[in-house]
Amino acid sequence: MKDIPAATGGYFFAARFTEEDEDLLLILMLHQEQGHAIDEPTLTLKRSLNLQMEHLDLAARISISGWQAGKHEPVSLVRGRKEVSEYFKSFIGLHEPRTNTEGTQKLKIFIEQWMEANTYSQSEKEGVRERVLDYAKQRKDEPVELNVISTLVDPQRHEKFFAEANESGLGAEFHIDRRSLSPWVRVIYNDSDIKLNFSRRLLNKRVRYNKRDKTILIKDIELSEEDLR
Amino acid sequence: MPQAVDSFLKLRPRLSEVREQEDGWILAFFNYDPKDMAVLGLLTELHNEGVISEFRREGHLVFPPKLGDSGPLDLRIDTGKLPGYFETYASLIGSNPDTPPQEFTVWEKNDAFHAGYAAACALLQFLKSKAEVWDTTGQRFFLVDQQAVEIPLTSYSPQQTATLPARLPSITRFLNAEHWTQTHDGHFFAKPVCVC
Repeated sequence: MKDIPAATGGYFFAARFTEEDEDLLLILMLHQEQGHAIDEPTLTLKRSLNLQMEHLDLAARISISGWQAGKHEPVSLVRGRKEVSEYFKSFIGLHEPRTNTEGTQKLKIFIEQWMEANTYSQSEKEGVRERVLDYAKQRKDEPVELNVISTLVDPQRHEKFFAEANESGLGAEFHIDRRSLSPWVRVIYNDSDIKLNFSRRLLNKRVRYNKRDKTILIKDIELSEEDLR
Repeated sequence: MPQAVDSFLKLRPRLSEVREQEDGWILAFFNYDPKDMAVLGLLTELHNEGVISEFRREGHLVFPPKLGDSGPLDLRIDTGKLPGYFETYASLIGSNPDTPPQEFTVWEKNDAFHAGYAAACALLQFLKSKAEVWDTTGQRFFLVDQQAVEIPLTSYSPQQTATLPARLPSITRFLNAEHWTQTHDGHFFAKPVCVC
């Protein structure tokens, strides 16, 4: 840990508890700030220390029973406004793998279930998959953030998505295995004037590509009158 | 053969009521037995590869490896993830009427259709070499002499190709030396060149 800049203040808090037969350990760093409150007997202002719960940036939920059972991801991190610091991860002994196949599969399934439960149309589903894929590509070797994915999947209910995904065992940030998202990959072509994006199963059906002539024919396209004006 | 196709071929004998749709989906039933761990591994692999995009039990989406108890599952299979795989010769002809894919596997086993498809492609390639007018949108071309002869590419069925392999050499030799015309019912035939 000597290579990592040290934490600056705060209180270390640990709690071990059982929830639905799961042995859990919660570790977090608490910060407090000087505030003011009303003193009821005298009805005057008094100084008071408050915990900054809304700025809970460093927290880990460790499933001890999951760890003992050899579960791949017994640790999930709670994410606040800031990156989960290397100091904190190093302190709790968390070494994240560069790719997380199981976590990615879990994310993929969770998103599919969410879209199914919230009756997304086929085109909305395709849109979500495309946005999440784009985001995963942008991150390259950096971990993806669950709160960003939440807004990509469901901008209206992103907090609910985040809470339920986090509860299902998805960490607030994790490295993604882009190969696990390959089923979502579509045929994409972009240049400065044209953007094409279609499912590969339509090749030689609705979409015919002539490699020699570099031309593409797409059938059953309906443009609105407004687009054609 | 691509790995996904190879894996799918291991599962294919166990699928029933297979329906191939025009937009590239294959729908099928699978009778799932949770005790069969090998097939669960195969289903999981095919799901991870995107080949089986959906598993449904009584209309509800389920995900491997948690497919539940024994019982029928509805599978939605994405042929876009199975390059070169075709359920039938009809679907092969529908998507590749005149040029065979570099590598392909047809689940429907029929040697006559296989040879017929190869002969039909050879004939169409030959005719295309003589084509004057191309209509890529309509998947057809025209041979033009004094009249135009229309050759629609996707209008033949596997059954119609059965006798073609035996007749192909003589047809191509004949057509190579002659001119063409079309009868009122759309068939074309060769006519002798007029030597004046």
